Amino acid sequence: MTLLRTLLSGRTTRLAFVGACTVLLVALFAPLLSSWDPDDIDLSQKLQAPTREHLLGTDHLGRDVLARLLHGARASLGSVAVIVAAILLLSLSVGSVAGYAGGMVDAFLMRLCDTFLTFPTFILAMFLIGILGAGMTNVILAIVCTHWAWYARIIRGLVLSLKTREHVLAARVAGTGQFRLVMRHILPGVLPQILVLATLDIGHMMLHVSGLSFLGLGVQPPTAEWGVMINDARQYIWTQPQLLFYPGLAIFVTVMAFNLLGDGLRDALDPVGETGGWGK
Amino acid sequence: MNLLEARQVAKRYRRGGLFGKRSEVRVLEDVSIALEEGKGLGLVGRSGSGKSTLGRLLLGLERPDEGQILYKGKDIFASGKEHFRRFRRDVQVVFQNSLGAVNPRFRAVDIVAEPLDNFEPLSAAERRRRVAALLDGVGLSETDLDKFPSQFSGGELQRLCIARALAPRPRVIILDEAVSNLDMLIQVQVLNLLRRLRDNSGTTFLFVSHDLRLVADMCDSVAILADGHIVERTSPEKPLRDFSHPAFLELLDAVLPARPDGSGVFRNILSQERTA
Amino acid sequence: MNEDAVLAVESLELEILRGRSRKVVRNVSFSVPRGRVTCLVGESGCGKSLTCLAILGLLPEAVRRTGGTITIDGERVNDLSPEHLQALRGGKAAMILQNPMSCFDPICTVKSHFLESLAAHGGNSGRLSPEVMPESDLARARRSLAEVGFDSPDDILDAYPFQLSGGMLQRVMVALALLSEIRLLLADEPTTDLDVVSQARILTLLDETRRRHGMGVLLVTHDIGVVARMADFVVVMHKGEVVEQGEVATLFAAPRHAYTRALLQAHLSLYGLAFGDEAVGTVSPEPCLAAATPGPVPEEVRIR
Repeated sequence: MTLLRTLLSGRTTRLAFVGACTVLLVALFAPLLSSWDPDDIDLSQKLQAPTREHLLGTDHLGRDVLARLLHGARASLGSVAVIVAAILLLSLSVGSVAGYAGGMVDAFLMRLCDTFLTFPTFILAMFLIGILGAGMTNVILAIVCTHWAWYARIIRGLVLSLKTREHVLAARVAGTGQFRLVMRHILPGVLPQILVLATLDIGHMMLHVSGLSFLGLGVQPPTAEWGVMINDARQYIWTQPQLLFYPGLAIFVTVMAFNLLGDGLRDALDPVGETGGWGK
Repeated sequence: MNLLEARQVAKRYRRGGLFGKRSEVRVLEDVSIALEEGKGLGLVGRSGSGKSTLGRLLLGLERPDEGQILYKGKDIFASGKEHFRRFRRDVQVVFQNSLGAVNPRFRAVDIVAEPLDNFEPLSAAERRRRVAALLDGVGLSETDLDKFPSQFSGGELQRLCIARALAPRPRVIILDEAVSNLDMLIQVQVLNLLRRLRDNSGTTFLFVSHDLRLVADMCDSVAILADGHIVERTSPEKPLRDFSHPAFLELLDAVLPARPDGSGVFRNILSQERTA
Repeated sequence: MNEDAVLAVESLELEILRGRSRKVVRNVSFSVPRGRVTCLVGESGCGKSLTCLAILGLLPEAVRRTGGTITIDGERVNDLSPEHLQALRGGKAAMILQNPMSCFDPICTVKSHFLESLAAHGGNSGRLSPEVMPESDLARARRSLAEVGFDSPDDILDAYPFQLSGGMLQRVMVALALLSEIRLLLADEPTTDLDVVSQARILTLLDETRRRHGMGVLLVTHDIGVVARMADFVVVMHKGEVVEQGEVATLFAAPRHAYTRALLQAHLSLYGLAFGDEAVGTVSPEPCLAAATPGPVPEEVRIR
């Protein structure tokens, strides 16, 4: 696929792509990669330095740090994947309907978006968790609620501009129904830009998830998650600083990889005339 | 019989939103034209005269603010889904900008087959055969079936659009400045193609253009549109060469000469008898 | 004729340097005499626009001049430094393009554009804010706009580009070009996007301006009607080469090359005419396509 080839042509993008893929694979295959159960508490082994058995040492409850790191990828990335999927589903539906239908429907849906756009993420999260209790589901819910409207607005704008394109008019004259019009003629012009935005946002959302987990509002013990690991390691910052360093580095690398990947995607998908830009 | 007709249509656009000053732009006002079956009608006017808007109204892409669009005598927006579907199938269009009129992600075969997929679903093999025949009719080849729009030149792409318009075997084809952007040699090729179609298939044509030469040659009757009104039209008593409205004269005088020595002024050519 | 030429192009070669390098313009030579119009005519992809851009040193990234010389008003311009070229453009030579809207900054008024041009070529403004224009500059701008046919130049000066039509913007471009005493005006398909009436008006304006100021005009077009209306001399290009050139009357009466003949035949058929001068009916002779089929448009210059 030419897109892949363009993506892999720059050195930074290549690295970012490899990095992102590695993290994804780690998240998928975590149980196979670590020989230790991340929840296995063994107080006799607590706060060990790296050994051949525990490659990165153990934490304050004797759990293998490497195992927790690898499984932490699952929690962090898994939740972000769910979040992105939910946001895209919601925003694409609302955005395309609003953009395509216009009129009262558009006005109503946009006012709905405006309402959701007023909530800051952390405040809404605390609110929801206060009512519904802590846990990953509520964190995901909070993040989706605060982000979908922004995407919906952008999609609506793109749909509006694509709706009047002559190839859409030509398709209407050719008898194509509304649903197929949106799916085959409008959305394919919208998706590339949205995917770029979503990829660039992955880092941001990961930080939300980790941040909320760090505050104790997200993932509950004993589940491994990078934010939680940072929180756990706070007490040992002077004695075992590496406990803080590993999850921090993991977050940093992942966020960086997806940001750079998003940049590369945007450059590779440079719209050539579809939404009005000239290609290089 | 009037196949497609606009009856006293008006179209206005409103400027200014909820909090701004509201002003109305009247693009079309009390416009009536009718396409007679098997004949060619030319709609001529300057940019901004409203001719493209009228074209879009006749295609059912927008609703008129006043008046009706009639297909086979019935209002297309008030005669039920079946009638509208029939109208869609029978009235096709070729736009001015061929590059913008095709989906850049579709292959040629899918572009041309789109009307077929909607009105006459065929098996994959039959679909491909039909499209190949259509491409052949416009001077493209079977090897072009799987190409993307970016692999065609402007003239080839316009021919592809014509093939698409022909696919559902329409009764009416609206050409909205369809040859304006083409190079000279390609333009003549396309015009010859359209002439053959007109002569062999009895299709009704509407040529929307600002070029009187084109319209004088291809159309049985002509209507001049200026500032949203039809200011002059052909009748048995008044053929094109007897038109006298200032808007028409402005267009006529603006036609470039055929020759540098003053012997090819279009005004003079028009007033001589043109062998039909 | 060479003594009196404001533009002389000799053996121009242009190459596209992307992937396999390919010559897009080969051995092109022609000249534009002072006070006359030379039309460069050909179909899409023949290299006429690139030739025009090359004259002012405005070639796109991927295209390089690999041979030939360009002389404007007696001065060799091939190897001028960028500053020199900058002074040349707008000073001695100016260009108007097919899509005038793309030449204007959408957030600046027409007045700002005039200010910028005047500052670059010996105006008095420069450091003042865009809304304050010294009297002398304002007078020059007004005069220029009035010359191109605007009855109320002040309204135009205060307008933004999007508020003006294509035809009006073309006029503004000519007005900007007239701010200096240019010797050469290049016009690259200036009327292609305009309707027939605007086209006629702009061409008349170009003609009158040329007569009044005595500049040479190189007019690039694909429309033979424009050639018939405007040209004193014609240069016909096909697939990157000049296939024929000469005085316009000669070309129309006795074209030598098959491609020129094909173009003329196609053009005349639009009027229902043919070479023999009899009015031909609706069935036009098929133009000579074998020699005339334009090559595929090189990818890099094809509009995507």
